[in-house]
Amino acid sequence: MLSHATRPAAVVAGPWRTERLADGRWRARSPAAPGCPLLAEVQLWGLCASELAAARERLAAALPALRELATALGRRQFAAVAAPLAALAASAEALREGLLASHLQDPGHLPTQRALGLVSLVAGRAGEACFHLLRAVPGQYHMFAVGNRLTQLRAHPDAPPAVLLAAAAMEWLGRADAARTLLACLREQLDVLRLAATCQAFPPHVLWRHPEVLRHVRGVLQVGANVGDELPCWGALGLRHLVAFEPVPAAFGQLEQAIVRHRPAGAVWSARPLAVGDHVGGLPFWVGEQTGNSSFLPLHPDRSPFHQQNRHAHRIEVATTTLDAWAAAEPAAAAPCNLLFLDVQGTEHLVLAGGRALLAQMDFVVLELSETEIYAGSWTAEPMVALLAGLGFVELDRGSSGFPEQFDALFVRPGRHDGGHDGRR
Amino acid sequence: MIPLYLYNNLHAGDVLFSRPLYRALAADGRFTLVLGAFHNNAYLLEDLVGERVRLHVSDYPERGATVLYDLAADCPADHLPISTWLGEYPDTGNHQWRSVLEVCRRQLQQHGIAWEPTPWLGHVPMIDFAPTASAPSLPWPCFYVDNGRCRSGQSSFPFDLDRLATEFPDHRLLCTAAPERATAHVIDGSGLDLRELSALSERCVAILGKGSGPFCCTYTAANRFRPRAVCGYHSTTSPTFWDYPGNPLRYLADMDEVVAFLRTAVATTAELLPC
Repeated sequence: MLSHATRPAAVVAGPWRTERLADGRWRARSPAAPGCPLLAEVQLWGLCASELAAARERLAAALPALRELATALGRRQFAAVAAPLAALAASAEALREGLLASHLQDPGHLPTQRALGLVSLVAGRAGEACFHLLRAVPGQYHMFAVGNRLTQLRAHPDAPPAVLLAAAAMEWLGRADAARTLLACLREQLDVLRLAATCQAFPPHVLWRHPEVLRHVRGVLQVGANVGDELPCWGALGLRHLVAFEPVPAAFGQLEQAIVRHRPAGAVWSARPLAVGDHVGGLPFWVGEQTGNSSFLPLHPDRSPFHQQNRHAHRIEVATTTLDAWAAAEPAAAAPCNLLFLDVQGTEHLVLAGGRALLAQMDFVVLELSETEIYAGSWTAEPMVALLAGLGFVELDRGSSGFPEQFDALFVRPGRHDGGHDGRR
Repeated sequence: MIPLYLYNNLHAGDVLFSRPLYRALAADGRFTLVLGAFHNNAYLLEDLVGERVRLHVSDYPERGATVLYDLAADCPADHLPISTWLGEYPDTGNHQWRSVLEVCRRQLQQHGIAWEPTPWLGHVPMIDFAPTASAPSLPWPCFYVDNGRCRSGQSSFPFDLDRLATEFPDHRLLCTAAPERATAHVIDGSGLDLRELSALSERCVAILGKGSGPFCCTYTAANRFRPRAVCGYHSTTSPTFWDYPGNPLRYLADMDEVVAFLRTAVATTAELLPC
């Protein structure tokens, strides 16, 4: 068996493709290399055929070693780096010159930029190498991605191998801190990608569109959980802590069954047969013909036509609590929760009024916004958004809830979901 | 001596307003400076080179909207990198001398260096270049018109050169970008660099611009009180422009205001001769 150092890094297939473009420039593209996708197709540009031919010959001779270097670094096989480095050392500056000129012709061509990064590394230009290898990560968009300012990487399915190459290069160049930061970003990306894939199977909801938020959810406080429609999603996401409130007895029974069915192993999920509002005690509660429409508030007589079929069947007396009273009574259950998920049919303002202290520990709030007053006394979207702004939340996104004037909205506390930020742009 | 590597990744106008900072740091006595510059902007800094100041010319160009390269990557191993771009922090974007100082102060502080810019705050400096002999001659009287495209998008004001020629038949228009149509009134300054434009601006009655590099380069000591206006200017990050006591800068919205402004400038400078 060949050792890694002597094994060809990639199989080169086919000849270089050289063409003259309409603007008079010449471009040559290297053959594909199935074994080295990061340098799959490197391109060179020239103003004339002879200029291009010289650079192409030089790069063609160097590409096998460049690909070997990329493969060894990407696998963190640092012992295998020495051979390609030695092979490339003499021609590194000339190669850099050709690749730099080509990169400036087409800065968005990532394999070429990656090749320029590797050649810069060989030429002893550490900063330049790190810059290009990082810039050549698909999906990264930060203007200046160097040193400790690596936290702005966007999740991209093709990013991981490029990130691993950049991080290994940084480590090899003695920039271990920067490499660690980059790998932490990669872990975050992979988490986000995994969550995004999981969410694709869920029914539409604004929250499932934000895996970068879900990644930071430690526990959920769900008020108005009804029969537990969201529980399969929480389970698939692996949610560890959930406390669900539902006052309608028939719905509560189904909610408890759903908890047993969907709770991940070891997770702490529980339900309370309580309504949540702005005081502790009891209140009459309107039960909808569909339990999901139940509310403390009567339906507005002039509600929009889209809600005319929404009717209340009867009234029951339910036990009520406030978020703060409950949290004071059950601090251990409340402590892990940082997402408040409300589906309370027009009484959001009452729930928030009774939970000012607990809201301080919330990073995210999900609730329904309505442009019209569907329940008598319910708040419309504008004052609700203003209320949440006063509590330190900004609206991140909103999505249709199935009615033209209603939206599911996601509010976040700034800085709690998008990674670290050192205050510099 | 503390070795600093100072750089500005943005456009020529941003680089120009870093010049007074580089001078201040060089004069401080505690620092040696390496100034990083894209190769097509390096000339904006070369007159600052001296006993304590060295210039590092990058192999990369500055290309307007797209930032191709981070000059920080070229920071010498034993130097402390300082980016002088005002956009470094969310609250320092305004194009003011105090912002330039603050961006530097914060980064020096991050490097553990206490640098108190208060002594420098009292007098707002200008960006003066060392004298250059390469600027061509200019007829008098003349208006300076920065009519090029604003790469940062802070203004897209369309100067009506024909109207200016009609309203001010005795004046010539030094245009920093090639005009659509060559006329006897227009002097095409598009082939001049910012040092040359800076020198020529000192021989103009008034300066009109949009806030881009060819406007920034006119902020010289000789022009400190010369009539000047930015036209169609709007910027959320930098709502005002390089302010100082006695600053004559006006913010104009349309050609009527431009004409009125120039009439006033002509009336007040009728007795003046070019510098």
